[in-house]
Amino acid sequence: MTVLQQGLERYLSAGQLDRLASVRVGIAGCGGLGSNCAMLLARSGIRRFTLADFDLVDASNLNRQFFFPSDVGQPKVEALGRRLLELDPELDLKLINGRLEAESLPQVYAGCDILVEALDKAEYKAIFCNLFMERDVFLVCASGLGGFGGAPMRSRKLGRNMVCVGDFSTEADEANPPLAPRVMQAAAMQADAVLARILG
Amino acid sequence: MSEISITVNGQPETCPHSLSLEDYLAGKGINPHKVVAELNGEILKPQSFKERILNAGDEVEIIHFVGGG
Repeated sequence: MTVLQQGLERYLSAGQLDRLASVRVGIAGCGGLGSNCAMLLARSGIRRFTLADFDLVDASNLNRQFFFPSDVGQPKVEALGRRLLELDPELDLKLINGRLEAESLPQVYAGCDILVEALDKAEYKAIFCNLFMERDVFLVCASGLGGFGGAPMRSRKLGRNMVCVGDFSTEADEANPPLAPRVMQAAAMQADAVLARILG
Repeated sequence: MSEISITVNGQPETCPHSLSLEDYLAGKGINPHKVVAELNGEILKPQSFKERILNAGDEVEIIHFVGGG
């Protein structure tokens, strides 16, 4: 048993830990949302992840993503995998370092019980959600996390199997750059929605 | 055609007449490629936005994604 698992036993029952360990969570994108959401879920007892991203860690990511200066230049999925394995060396990680094409998504995320949409562009978010929201998988997406001091974030349900979090209005752009507090707030709300689905 | 009342994201709205979801989105200046939508509890495929007509009493949920992740 890993140190993290020992520590988790103080807060969660054996039954709860078994439920968390039995689920595979797929995360699309390992940037501000995905890297933080994966970290939060690993800390919460999720043991099986499928992580995908095409990008390399850049200095401009360190303001909000779960990376460190020594990760710069490395593929995000590999850097995130290493950080997660520091937390718990026994995690079951499936890492996909490459661009996600709509046609290959069902295969990439086959075997996932829960999917977290953590993509950057609005069009890609819509494509991803429209693809999976009719399938038998719980889908958690996010919209509106730029800037600071914006509208309160909330969680909306669509159908039986989809939750979307965020302030639903503030695009991350030059006027409202992606900054750690609101990006991590959205990632934390996504992670909480995942836990609520599994343990609720 | 007479005006109709619908509910969009929990808020009552009035449209001048029955119209497709595609036309509704266009009227609001919303890019249909950035949207997921539910009509009366049923998830709508993007391909059906054009043919699904909004009628009086319909309840529509629209998530209009903005970028950032």
